[in-house]
Amino acid sequence: MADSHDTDSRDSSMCDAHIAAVLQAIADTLLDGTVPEEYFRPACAATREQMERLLADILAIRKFAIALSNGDLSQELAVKGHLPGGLKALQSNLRHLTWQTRQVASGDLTQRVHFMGEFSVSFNEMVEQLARERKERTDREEELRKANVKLAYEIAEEQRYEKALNITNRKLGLLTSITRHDIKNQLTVILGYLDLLKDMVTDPEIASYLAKQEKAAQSILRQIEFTRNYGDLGIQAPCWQKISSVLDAAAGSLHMGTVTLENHAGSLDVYADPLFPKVFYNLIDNALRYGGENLTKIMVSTKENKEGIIITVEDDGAGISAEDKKRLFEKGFGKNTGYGLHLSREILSLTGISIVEDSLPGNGARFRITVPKDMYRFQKG
Amino acid sequence: MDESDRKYRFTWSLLGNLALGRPNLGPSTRLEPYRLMLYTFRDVLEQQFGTEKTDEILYLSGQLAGKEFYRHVIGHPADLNEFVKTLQEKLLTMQIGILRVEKANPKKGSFVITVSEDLDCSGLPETGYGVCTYDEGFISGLIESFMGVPYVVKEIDCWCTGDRTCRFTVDPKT
Repeated sequence: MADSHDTDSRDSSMCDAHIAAVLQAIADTLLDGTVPEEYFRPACAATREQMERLLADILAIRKFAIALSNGDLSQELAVKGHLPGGLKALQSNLRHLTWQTRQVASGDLTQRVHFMGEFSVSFNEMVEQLARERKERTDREEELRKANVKLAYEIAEEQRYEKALNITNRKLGLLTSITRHDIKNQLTVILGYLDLLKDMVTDPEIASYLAKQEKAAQSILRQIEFTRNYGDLGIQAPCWQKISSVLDAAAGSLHMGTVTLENHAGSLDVYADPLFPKVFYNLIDNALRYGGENLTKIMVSTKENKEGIIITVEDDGAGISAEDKKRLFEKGFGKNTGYGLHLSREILSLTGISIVEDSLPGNGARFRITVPKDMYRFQKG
Repeated sequence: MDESDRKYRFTWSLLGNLALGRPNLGPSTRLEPYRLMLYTFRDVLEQQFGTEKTDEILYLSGQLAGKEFYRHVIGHPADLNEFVKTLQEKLLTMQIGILRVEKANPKKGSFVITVSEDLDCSGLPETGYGVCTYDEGFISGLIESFMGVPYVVKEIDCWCTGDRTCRFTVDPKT
Protein backbone atom coordinates (compact mmCIF):
# COMPACT_ATOMS: atom_id res chain seq x y z
CA MET A 1 0.00 0.00 0.00
CA ALA A 2 2.80 2.30 0.93
CA ASP A 3 4.50 1.68 -2.44
CA SER A 4 1.23 2.32 -4.28
CA HIS A 5 0.66 5.56 -2.37
CA ASP A 6 4.20 6.71 -3.11
CA THR A 7 3.76 5.89 -6.81
CA ASP A 8 0.44 7.80 -6.98
CA SER A 9 1.97 10.74 -5.21
CA ARG A 10 5.00 10.73 -7.53
CA ASP A 11 2.73 10.46 -10.64
CA SER A 12 0.57 13.31 -9.40
CA SER A 13 3.62 15.51 -8.79
CA MET A 14 4.96 14.70 -12.25
CA CYS A 15 1.57 15.49 -13.81
CA ASP A 16 1.43 18.85 -12.00
CA ALA A 17 4.98 19.59 -13.12
CA HIS A 18 4.05 18.77 -16.75
CA ILE A 19 0.95 20.98 -16.64
CA ALA A 20 3.02 23.79 -15.09
CA ALA A 21 5.66 23.38 -17.83
CA VAL A 22 2.99 23.50 -20.57
CA LEU A 23 1.37 26.58 -19.00
CA GLN A 24 4.81 28.23 -18.72
CA ALA A 25 5.47 27.54 -22.40
CA ILE A 26 2.07 29.06 -23.33
CA ALA A 27 2.65 32.08 -21.06
CA ASP A 28 6.16 32.65 -22.51
CA THR A 29 4.85 32.44 -26.07
CA LEU A 30 1.99 34.81 -25.32
CA LEU A 31 4.05 37.36 -23.39
CA ASP A 32 7.39 37.27 -25.24
CA GLY A 33 6.11 36.59 -28.76
CA THR A 34 8.51 33.68 -29.28
CA VAL A 35 8.27 30.00 -28.53
CA PRO A 36 10.83 29.25 -25.78
CA GLU A 37 13.81 27.29 -27.09
CA GLU A 38 13.64 24.81 -24.23
CA TYR A 39 10.21 23.79 -23.09
CA PHE A 40 8.47 20.66 -22.00
CA ARG A 41 7.52 18.50 -24.95
CA PRO A 42 4.96 15.74 -24.30
CA ALA A 43 6.19 12.26 -25.04
CA CYS A 44 3.16 11.39 -27.18
CA ALA A 45 3.73 12.54 -30.78
CA ALA A 46 0.10 13.56 -31.39
CA THR A 47 -0.05 15.57 -28.16
CA ARG A 48 3.33 17.12 -28.96
CA GLU A 49 2.10 18.13 -32.42
CA GLN A 50 -1.07 19.54 -30.89
CA MET A 51 0.97 21.60 -28.45
CA GLU A 52 3.30 22.89 -31.16
CA ARG A 53 0.24 23.91 -33.26
CA LEU A 54 -1.29 25.67 -30.27
CA LEU A 55 1.89 27.67 -29.65
CA ALA A 56 2.12 28.55 -33.36
CA ASP A 57 -1.54 29.69 -33.31
CA ILE A 58 -0.89 31.80 -30.21
CA LEU A 59 2.05 33.43 -31.97
CA ALA A 60 0.00 34.11 -35.12
CA ILE A 61 -2.93 35.59 -33.13
CA ARG A 62 -0.52 37.71 -31.06
CA LYS A 63 1.19 39.05 -34.20
CA PHE A 64 -2.18 39.77 -35.82
CA ALA A 65 -3.51 41.57 -32.72
CA ILE A 66 -0.38 43.75 -32.42
CA ALA A 67 -0.50 44.65 -36.12
CA LEU A 68 -4.19 45.53 -35.74
CA SER A 69 -3.48 47.73 -32.72
CA ASN A 70 -0.85 49.55 -34.81
CA GLY A 71 -3.40 50.24 -37.57
CA ASP A 72 -1.96 47.65 -39.96
CA LEU A 73 -5.03 46.15 -41.65
CA SER A 74 -3.13 44.16 -44.27
CA GLN A 75 -2.32 41.09 -42.14
CA GLU A 76 -3.99 37.75 -42.77
CA LEU A 77 -4.81 35.26 -40.03
CA ALA A 78 -5.29 31.62 -40.98
CA VAL A 79 -6.23 30.51 -37.46
CA LYS A 80 -9.88 29.62 -36.98
CA GLY A 81 -11.98 29.93 -33.83
CA HIS A 82 -13.84 32.54 -31.80
CA LEU A 83 -10.83 34.54 -30.57
CA PRO A 84 -9.19 34.95 -33.98
CA GLY A 85 -12.67 35.27 -35.47
CA GLY A 86 -13.41 38.24 -33.21
CA LEU A 87 -10.13 39.90 -34.20
CA LYS A 88 -10.83 39.26 -37.87
CA ALA A 89 -14.33 40.74 -37.48
CA LEU A 90 -12.71 43.86 -36.00
CA GLN A 91 -10.23 43.96 -38.91
CA SER A 92 -13.09 43.50 -41.34
CA ASN A 93 -15.01 46.43 -39.83
CA LEU A 94 -11.93 48.64 -39.91
CA ARG A 95 -11.20 47.69 -43.52
CA HIS A 96 -14.79 48.48 -44.43
CA LEU A 97 -14.60 51.85 -42.67
CA THR A 98 -11.35 52.59 -44.51
CA TRP A 99 -13.05 51.80 -47.80
CA GLN A 100 -16.08 53.92 -46.86
CA THR A 101 -13.88 56.85 -45.84
CA ARG A 102 -12.10 56.63 -49.20
CA GLN A 103 -15.47 56.66 -50.94
CA VAL A 104 -16.51 59.74 -48.97
CA ALA A 105 -13.19 61.42 -49.79
CA SER A 106 -13.77 60.72 -53.48
CA GLY A 107 -17.15 62.47 -53.25
CA ASP A 108 -19.61 59.63 -52.54
CA LEU A 109 -21.64 61.13 -49.69
CA THR A 110 -24.28 58.39 -49.74
CA GLN A 111 -22.07 56.12 -47.56
CA ARG A 112 -23.60 55.11 -44.23
CA VAL A 113 -22.31 52.95 -41.40
CA HIS A 114 -24.72 50.47 -39.81
CA PHE A 115 -24.58 48.52 -36.56
CA MET A 116 -21.38 50.00 -35.14
CA GLY A 117 -22.89 51.73 -32.14
CA GLU A 118 -22.09 55.40 -31.47
CA PHE A 119 -19.54 55.37 -34.28
CA SER A 120 -22.34 54.76 -36.80
CA VAL A 121 -24.29 57.75 -35.48
CA SER A 122 -21.25 60.07 -35.58
CA PHE A 123 -20.07 58.89 -39.00
CA ASN A 124 -23.53 59.16 -40.54
CA GLU A 125 -24.07 62.63 -39.05
CA MET A 126 -20.72 63.75 -40.44
CA VAL A 127 -21.49 62.47 -43.94
CA GLU A 128 -25.01 63.96 -43.85
CA GLN A 129 -23.54 67.30 -42.80
CA LEU A 130 -21.01 67.11 -45.65
CA ALA A 131 -23.83 66.28 -48.07
CA ARG A 132 -25.88 69.24 -46.81
CA GLU A 133 -22.92 71.59 -47.16
CA ARG A 134 -22.15 70.28 -50.62
CA LYS A 135 -25.76 70.80 -51.67
CA GLU A 136 -25.75 74.34 -50.29
CA ARG A 137 -22.49 75.04 -52.14
CA THR A 138 -23.89 73.54 -55.34
CA ASP A 139 -27.06 75.62 -54.96
CA ARG A 140 -25.00 78.76 -54.43
CA GLU A 141 -22.84 77.95 -57.45
CA GLU A 142 -25.97 77.41 -59.51
CA GLU A 143 -27.39 80.74 -58.34
CA LEU A 144 -24.09 82.39 -59.16
CA ARG A 145 -24.03 80.76 -62.58
CA LYS A 146 -27.57 81.99 -63.30
CA ALA A 147 -26.64 85.47 -62.05
CA ASN A 148 -23.59 85.42 -64.33
CA VAL A 149 -25.69 84.42 -67.31
CA LYS A 150 -28.14 87.22 -66.49
CA LEU A 151 -25.28 89.65 -66.01
CA ALA A 152 -23.68 88.64 -69.29
CA TYR A 153 -27.02 89.18 -71.00
CA GLU A 154 -27.39 92.59 -69.34
CA ILE A 155 -23.84 93.55 -70.28
CA ALA A 156 -24.50 92.53 -73.89
CA GLU A 157 -27.71 94.56 -73.79
CA GLU A 158 -25.83 97.49 -72.28
CA GLN A 159 -23.18 97.21 -74.98
CA ARG A 160 -25.87 97.23 -77.66
CA TYR A 161 -27.41 100.39 -76.13
CA GLU A 162 -23.98 101.98 -75.84
CA LYS A 163 -23.22 101.24 -79.47
CA ALA A 164 -26.58 102.69 -80.55
CA LEU A 165 -25.96 105.73 -78.36
CA ASN A 166 -22.52 106.24 -79.87
CA ILE A 167 -23.97 106.17 -83.37
CA THR A 168 -26.68 108.66 -82.35
CA ASN A 169 -24.08 110.88 -80.68
CA ARG A 170 -21.92 110.81 -83.76
CA LYS A 171 -24.91 111.82 -85.91
CA LEU A 172 -25.85 114.57 -83.47
CA GLY A 173 -22.25 115.77 -83.36
CA LEU A 174 -22.13 115.91 -87.14
CA LEU A 175 -25.44 117.75 -87.32
CA THR A 176 -24.33 120.20 -84.62
CA SER A 177 -21.02 120.78 -86.34
CA ILE A 178 -22.65 121.49 -89.71
CA THR A 179 -25.30 123.71 -88.11
CA ARG A 180 -22.66 125.58 -86.10
CA HIS A 181 -20.59 126.09 -89.24
CA ASP A 182 -23.60 127.41 -91.17
CA ILE A 183 -24.65 129.78 -88.36
CA LYS A 184 -21.11 131.12 -88.09
CA ASN A 185 -21.04 131.71 -91.86
CA GLN A 186 -24.31 133.59 -91.71
CA LEU A 187 -23.10 135.59 -88.68
CA THR A 188 -19.95 136.52 -90.60
CA VAL A 189 -22.19 137.79 -93.40
CA ILE A 190 -24.35 139.76 -90.91
CA LEU A 191 -21.30 141.25 -89.21
CA GLY A 192 -19.79 142.14 -92.64
CA TYR A 193 -22.92 143.98 -93.69
CA LEU A 194 -23.19 145.66 -90.31
CA ASP A 195 -19.62 146.87 -90.79
CA LEU A 196 -20.53 148.29 -94.22
CA LEU A 197 -23.69 149.90 -92.81
CA LYS A 198 -21.74 151.58 -89.99
CA ASP A 199 -19.70 153.47 -92.58
CA MET A 200 -22.82 154.51 -94.48
CA VAL A 201 -24.99 155.62 -91.54
CA THR A 202 -24.64 159.13 -90.21
CA ASP A 203 -27.76 159.23 -88.03
CA PRO A 204 -26.52 158.66 -84.47
CA GLU A 205 -29.72 156.94 -83.42
CA ILE A 206 -29.50 154.37 -86.24
CA ALA A 207 -25.76 154.03 -85.54
CA SER A 208 -26.52 153.11 -81.90
CA TYR A 209 -29.03 150.46 -83.09
CA LEU A 210 -26.42 149.04 -85.42
CA ALA A 211 -23.90 148.92 -82.57
CA LYS A 212 -26.40 146.97 -80.45
CA GLN A 213 -27.04 144.59 -83.35
CA GLU A 214 -23.31 144.04 -83.76
CA LYS A 215 -22.92 143.37 -80.02
CA ALA A 216 -25.75 140.81 -80.13
CA ALA A 217 -24.22 139.12 -83.17
CA GLN A 218 -20.83 138.94 -81.43
CA SER A 219 -22.52 137.40 -78.38
CA ILE A 220 -24.14 134.74 -80.58
CA LEU A 221 -20.73 134.06 -82.09
CA ARG A 222 -19.20 133.51 -78.62
CA GLN A 223 -22.04 131.24 -77.58
CA ILE A 224 -21.67 129.21 -80.75
CA GLU A 225 -17.96 128.87 -79.97
CA PHE A 226 -18.89 127.79 -76.43
CA THR A 227 -21.08 124.96 -77.73
CA ARG A 228 -18.10 123.75 -79.72
CA ASN A 229 -16.05 123.51 -76.52
CA TYR A 230 -18.70 121.80 -74.40
CA GLY A 231 -20.56 119.82 -77.03
CA ASP A 232 -18.92 116.55 -75.95
CA LEU A 233 -19.99 116.77 -72.28
CA GLY A 234 -20.79 113.26 -70.94
CA ILE A 235 -20.48 111.61 -74.33
CA GLN A 236 -17.04 110.04 -73.87
CA ALA A 237 -16.38 107.53 -71.08
CA PRO A 238 -14.59 108.90 -67.96
CA CYS A 239 -10.85 108.27 -67.65
CA TRP A 240 -7.97 108.76 -65.20
CA GLN A 241 -6.41 112.22 -65.45
CA LYS A 242 -3.33 113.62 -63.75
CA ILE A 243 -4.20 116.87 -61.96
CA SER A 244 -0.68 118.34 -62.22
CA SER A 245 -0.64 117.92 -65.99
CA VAL A 246 -4.17 119.30 -66.32
CA LEU A 247 -3.20 122.41 -64.31
CA ASP A 248 -0.01 122.98 -66.25
CA ALA A 249 -1.88 122.65 -69.56
CA ALA A 250 -4.56 125.13 -68.42
CA ALA A 251 -1.98 127.66 -67.24
CA GLY A 252 -0.02 127.20 -70.46
CA SER A 253 -3.03 128.07 -72.62
CA LEU A 254 -3.87 131.27 -70.67
CA HIS A 255 -2.02 134.58 -70.44
CA MET A 256 -0.75 134.36 -66.83
CA GLY A 257 1.29 137.57 -66.93
CA THR A 258 2.94 138.02 -63.53
CA VAL A 259 0.52 135.70 -61.79
CA THR A 260 2.10 132.44 -60.61
CA LEU A 261 0.48 129.02 -60.32
CA GLU A 262 1.48 127.03 -57.24
CA ASN A 263 0.76 123.45 -58.15
CA HIS A 264 0.80 121.07 -55.14
CA ALA A 265 -1.35 118.32 -56.67
CA GLY A 266 1.61 115.90 -56.76
CA SER A 267 0.89 112.46 -58.22
CA LEU A 268 -2.88 112.68 -57.79
CA ASP A 269 -5.02 111.14 -60.56
CA VAL A 270 -8.77 111.70 -60.76
CA TYR A 271 -11.33 109.58 -62.61
CA ALA A 272 -13.46 112.12 -64.48
CA ASP A 273 -15.11 113.13 -67.73
CA PRO A 274 -12.62 113.93 -70.53
CA LEU A 275 -13.79 117.60 -70.24
CA PHE A 276 -12.33 117.69 -66.72
CA PRO A 277 -9.42 120.02 -67.81
CA LYS A 278 -12.06 122.66 -68.70
CA VAL A 279 -12.93 122.94 -64.99
CA PHE A 280 -9.41 124.04 -64.07
CA TYR A 281 -9.19 126.18 -67.19
CA ASN A 282 -12.38 128.00 -66.10
CA LEU A 283 -11.22 128.41 -62.48
CA ILE A 284 -7.84 129.86 -63.51
CA ASP A 285 -9.43 131.95 -66.28
CA ASN A 286 -11.97 133.37 -63.79
CA ALA A 287 -9.20 134.19 -61.31
CA LEU A 288 -7.25 136.01 -64.04
CA ARG A 289 -10.36 137.83 -65.34
CA TYR A 290 -11.85 138.94 -62.02
CA GLY A 291 -8.97 138.74 -59.52
CA GLY A 292 -8.10 142.35 -60.01
CA GLU A 293 -4.73 144.01 -59.97
CA ASN A 294 -3.80 142.61 -56.52
CA LEU A 295 -3.85 139.04 -57.85
CA THR A 296 -0.35 137.54 -57.64
CA LYS A 297 -0.83 133.79 -57.28
CA ILE A 298 -3.22 130.87 -57.73
CA MET A 299 -2.65 127.89 -55.42
CA VAL A 300 -3.81 124.31 -55.85
CA SER A 301 -3.48 121.89 -52.90
CA THR A 302 -4.98 118.56 -51.83
CA LYS A 303 -6.04 116.97 -48.53
CA GLU A 304 -7.55 113.53 -47.86
CA ASN A 305 -10.38 112.98 -45.40
CA LYS A 306 -12.81 110.13 -44.66
CA GLU A 307 -15.07 111.03 -47.63
CA GLY A 308 -12.26 111.18 -50.18
CA ILE A 309 -9.88 113.94 -51.22
CA ILE A 310 -10.41 117.70 -51.41
CA ILE A 311 -8.70 119.71 -54.14
CA THR A 312 -8.55 123.37 -53.17
CA VAL A 313 -8.10 126.05 -55.84
CA GLU A 314 -7.62 129.49 -54.25
CA ASP A 315 -6.17 132.86 -55.17
CA ASP A 316 -5.17 136.09 -53.46
CA GLY A 317 -7.26 138.31 -55.73
CA ALA A 318 -10.31 140.48 -55.12
CA GLY A 319 -12.56 137.59 -54.08
CA ILE A 320 -16.26 137.13 -54.69
CA SER A 321 -19.03 139.20 -53.17
CA ALA A 322 -21.53 137.54 -50.89
CA GLU A 323 -24.29 138.40 -53.36
CA ASP A 324 -22.50 136.74 -56.30
CA LYS A 325 -21.64 133.65 -54.26
CA LYS A 326 -25.32 132.71 -54.05
CA ARG A 327 -25.71 132.46 -57.83
CA LEU A 328 -22.16 131.52 -58.80
CA PHE A 329 -23.05 128.13 -60.32
CA GLU A 330 -26.35 129.17 -61.92
CA LYS A 331 -26.70 128.82 -65.66
CA GLY A 332 -26.22 132.16 -67.45
CA PHE A 333 -24.87 133.96 -64.37
CA GLY A 334 -21.62 135.84 -64.95
CA LYS A 335 -19.98 138.49 -66.97
CA ASN A 336 -18.57 136.32 -69.78
CA THR A 337 -20.68 133.47 -71.29
CA GLY A 338 -22.36 132.72 -67.97
CA TYR A 339 -21.92 129.03 -68.47
CA GLY A 340 -18.36 128.33 -67.25
CA LEU A 341 -18.93 127.45 -63.58
CA HIS A 342 -22.34 125.93 -64.24
CA LEU A 343 -20.88 123.51 -66.76
CA SER A 344 -17.84 122.89 -64.54
CA ARG A 345 -20.18 121.61 -61.85
CA GLU A 346 -21.99 119.45 -64.44
CA ILE A 347 -18.69 117.97 -65.71
CA LEU A 348 -17.62 117.05 -62.18
CA SER A 349 -20.98 115.61 -61.16
CA LEU A 350 -20.78 113.00 -63.93
CA THR A 351 -18.38 110.98 -61.74
CA GLY A 352 -19.76 112.04 -58.35
CA ILE A 353 -17.36 114.94 -57.78
CA SER A 354 -18.73 118.11 -56.15
CA ILE A 355 -17.55 121.75 -56.11
CA VAL A 356 -18.29 124.64 -53.73
CA GLU A 357 -16.97 128.14 -53.25
CA ASP A 358 -16.25 128.81 -49.57
CA SER A 359 -13.88 131.75 -49.37
CA LEU A 360 -13.98 134.00 -46.34
CA PRO A 361 -15.09 137.64 -46.79
CA GLY A 362 -12.20 139.93 -47.67
CA ASN A 363 -10.05 137.10 -49.02
CA GLY A 364 -9.52 135.85 -52.56
CA ALA A 365 -11.73 133.19 -54.19
CA ARG A 366 -11.52 129.61 -52.88
CA PHE A 367 -13.06 126.59 -54.60
CA ARG A 368 -13.15 123.19 -52.96
CA ILE A 369 -13.54 120.14 -55.19
CA THR A 370 -14.43 116.94 -53.30
CA VAL A 371 -13.48 113.69 -55.09
CA PRO A 372 -15.08 110.58 -53.52
CA LYS A 373 -13.08 107.46 -52.63
CA ASP A 374 -12.40 105.07 -55.52
CA MET A 375 -12.48 108.07 -57.89
CA TYR A 376 -8.89 109.11 -57.21
CA ARG A 377 -5.49 107.51 -56.79
CA PHE A 378 -1.82 108.43 -56.47
CA GLN A 379 0.15 107.27 -59.44
CA LYS A 380 3.84 107.93 -59.87
CA GLY A 381 5.22 108.75 -63.33
CA MET B 1 -32.11 18.23 -70.69
CA ASP B 2 -33.73 20.02 -73.56
CA GLU B 3 -35.08 23.43 -72.49
CA SER B 4 -38.50 22.67 -73.93
CA ASP B 5 -38.76 19.54 -71.80
CA ARG B 6 -38.17 21.37 -68.54
CA LYS B 7 -40.87 21.46 -65.91
CA TYR B 8 -39.30 23.61 -63.18
CA ARG B 9 -37.80 26.61 -64.95
CA PHE B 10 -37.55 29.46 -62.44
CA THR B 11 -39.58 32.61 -62.94
CA TRP B 12 -39.89 35.55 -60.56
CA SER B 13 -43.64 34.99 -60.47
CA LEU B 14 -42.97 31.84 -58.45
CA LEU B 15 -42.36 34.10 -55.46
CA GLY B 16 -46.10 34.75 -55.66
CA ASN B 17 -48.40 37.56 -54.67
CA LEU B 18 -47.75 37.63 -50.94
CA ALA B 19 -50.23 40.41 -50.20
CA LEU B 20 -52.93 38.26 -51.76
CA GLY B 21 -51.72 34.90 -50.47
CA ARG B 22 -50.72 35.89 -46.94
CA PRO B 23 -53.03 38.72 -45.90
CA ASN B 24 -52.64 37.90 -42.21
CA LEU B 25 -49.15 36.41 -41.85
CA GLY B 26 -47.48 38.82 -44.26
CA PRO B 27 -44.30 38.33 -46.36
CA SER B 28 -41.89 37.45 -43.48
CA THR B 29 -41.18 34.20 -41.74
CA ARG B 30 -38.71 33.01 -39.12
CA LEU B 31 -35.23 32.03 -40.26
CA GLU B 32 -35.40 28.47 -39.00
CA PRO B 33 -37.70 27.16 -41.79
CA TYR B 34 -35.37 28.64 -44.37
CA ARG B 35 -32.36 26.93 -42.85
CA LEU B 36 -34.38 23.75 -42.35
CA MET B 37 -35.14 23.69 -46.05
CA LEU B 38 -31.61 24.61 -47.15
CA TYR B 39 -29.79 22.04 -45.02
CA THR B 40 -32.25 19.22 -45.59
CA PHE B 41 -31.92 19.85 -49.32
CA ARG B 42 -28.16 19.76 -48.92
CA ASP B 43 -28.37 16.53 -46.94
CA VAL B 44 -30.48 14.74 -49.53
CA LEU B 45 -28.49 16.14 -52.44
CA GLU B 46 -25.28 14.85 -50.92
CA GLN B 47 -26.82 11.43 -50.39
CA GLN B 48 -28.00 11.36 -53.99
CA PHE B 49 -25.09 13.05 -55.81
CA GLY B 50 -22.11 13.27 -53.47
CA THR B 51 -20.50 16.26 -51.74
CA GLU B 52 -18.79 17.84 -54.73
CA LYS B 53 -21.87 17.74 -56.93
CA THR B 54 -23.98 19.07 -54.05
CA ASP B 55 -21.69 22.07 -53.67
CA GLU B 56 -21.87 22.67 -57.41
CA ILE B 57 -25.67 22.53 -57.38
CA LEU B 58 -25.88 24.91 -54.42
CA TYR B 59 -23.42 27.35 -56.06
CA LEU B 60 -25.33 27.34 -59.36
CA SER B 61 -28.67 27.72 -57.55
CA GLY B 62 -27.28 30.71 -55.67
CA GLN B 63 -25.94 32.16 -58.91
CA LEU B 64 -29.36 31.88 -60.57
CA ALA B 65 -30.90 33.55 -57.50
CA GLY B 66 -28.27 36.35 -57.66
CA LYS B 67 -29.02 37.03 -61.33
CA GLU B 68 -32.80 37.08 -60.75
CA PHE B 69 -32.37 39.25 -57.66
CA TYR B 70 -30.27 41.73 -59.65
CA ARG B 71 -32.81 41.86 -62.44
CA HIS B 72 -35.89 42.28 -60.28
CA VAL B 73 -34.61 44.08 -57.16
CA ILE B 74 -31.41 45.98 -57.89
CA GLY B 75 -32.51 47.63 -61.13
CA HIS B 76 -29.99 49.53 -63.24
CA PRO B 77 -27.30 51.17 -61.08
CA ALA B 78 -25.27 53.83 -62.91
CA ASP B 79 -21.89 52.95 -61.38
CA LEU B 80 -20.16 50.67 -58.90
CA ASN B 81 -20.88 52.94 -55.93
CA GLU B 82 -24.57 52.99 -56.68
CA PHE B 83 -24.59 49.22 -57.18
CA VAL B 84 -22.89 48.56 -53.82
CA LYS B 85 -25.10 51.06 -52.02
CA THR B 86 -28.32 49.65 -53.49
CA LEU B 87 -27.25 46.10 -52.74
CA GLN B 88 -26.36 47.02 -49.15
CA GLU B 89 -29.74 48.68 -48.68
CA LYS B 90 -31.72 45.80 -50.17
CA LEU B 91 -29.89 43.15 -48.16
CA LEU B 92 -30.47 45.22 -45.06
CA THR B 93 -34.14 46.02 -45.59
CA MET B 94 -34.90 42.41 -46.59
CA GLN B 95 -32.90 41.27 -43.53
CA ILE B 96 -30.64 39.02 -45.59
CA GLY B 97 -27.36 40.24 -44.11
CA ILE B 98 -25.05 43.20 -43.52
CA LEU B 99 -22.85 43.64 -46.58
CA ARG B 100 -19.57 45.48 -46.21
CA VAL B 101 -16.81 46.14 -48.71
CA GLU B 102 -13.32 45.59 -47.32
CA LYS B 103 -11.24 46.11 -50.42
CA ALA B 104 -12.01 47.14 -53.96
CA ASN B 105 -9.71 47.21 -56.94
CA PRO B 106 -11.91 48.68 -59.68
CA LYS B 107 -9.10 48.37 -62.21
CA LYS B 108 -8.86 44.60 -61.79
CA GLY B 109 -12.52 44.26 -60.86
CA SER B 110 -11.55 42.41 -57.67
CA PHE B 111 -13.17 42.80 -54.27
CA VAL B 112 -13.09 41.46 -50.75
CA ILE B 113 -16.48 41.70 -49.10
CA THR B 114 -18.00 40.50 -45.84
CA VAL B 115 -21.53 39.54 -44.93
CA SER B 116 -22.39 39.68 -41.24
CA GLU B 117 -25.50 38.18 -39.63
CA ASP B 118 -25.75 36.09 -42.74
CA LEU B 119 -28.96 34.24 -43.55
CA ASP B 120 -27.25 30.89 -44.07
CA CYS B 121 -24.67 30.48 -41.35
CA SER B 122 -24.68 33.04 -38.53
CA GLY B 123 -25.15 31.24 -35.23
CA LEU B 124 -24.47 27.77 -36.62
CA PRO B 125 -22.18 25.44 -34.67
CA GLU B 126 -18.54 25.29 -35.71
CA THR B 127 -18.12 22.68 -38.39
CA GLY B 128 -14.54 23.42 -39.37
CA TYR B 129 -15.52 24.20 -42.96
CA GLY B 130 -17.38 27.03 -44.69
CA VAL B 131 -21.04 26.45 -45.43
CA CYS B 132 -21.99 29.48 -47.50
CA THR B 133 -21.78 27.81 -50.91
CA TYR B 134 -25.22 29.11 -51.88
CA ASP B 135 -24.07 32.62 -50.85
CA GLU B 136 -20.96 32.30 -53.01
CA GLY B 137 -23.14 31.59 -56.02
CA PHE B 138 -25.60 34.36 -55.06
CA ILE B 139 -22.81 36.95 -54.90
CA SER B 140 -21.28 35.75 -58.18
CA GLY B 141 -24.68 36.06 -59.90
CA LEU B 142 -25.07 39.63 -58.64
CA ILE B 143 -21.56 40.73 -59.61
CA GLU B 144 -21.71 39.03 -63.00
CA SER B 145 -24.98 40.79 -63.76
CA PHE B 146 -23.46 44.17 -62.94
CA MET B 147 -19.99 43.69 -64.47
CA GLY B 148 -21.12 41.69 -67.49
CA VAL B 149 -18.34 39.08 -67.17
CA PRO B 150 -18.16 35.75 -65.28
CA TYR B 151 -16.92 35.88 -61.69
CA VAL B 152 -15.58 33.44 -59.14
CA VAL B 153 -16.57 33.95 -55.51
CA LYS B 154 -14.81 32.09 -52.72
CA GLU B 155 -15.65 32.14 -49.03
CA ILE B 156 -12.42 32.46 -47.03
CA ASP B 157 -13.89 32.99 -43.53
CA CYS B 158 -17.18 31.68 -42.22
CA TRP B 159 -19.10 31.59 -38.97
CA CYS B 160 -18.80 27.85 -39.10
CA THR B 161 -15.00 28.04 -39.05
CA GLY B 162 -15.11 30.16 -35.92
CA ASP B 163 -15.19 33.57 -37.57
CA ARG B 164 -17.76 36.20 -36.64
CA THR B 165 -18.38 37.37 -40.18
CA CYS B 166 -18.32 35.66 -43.57
CA ARG B 167 -15.60 36.96 -45.88
CA PHE B 168 -15.57 36.42 -49.63
CA THR B 169 -13.02 37.07 -52.34
CA VAL B 170 -14.64 38.19 -55.59
CA ASP B 171 -12.52 37.94 -58.75
CA PRO B 172 -13.17 37.84 -62.49
CA LYS B 173 -13.03 34.32 -63.87
CA THR B 174 -9.75 33.84 -65.74
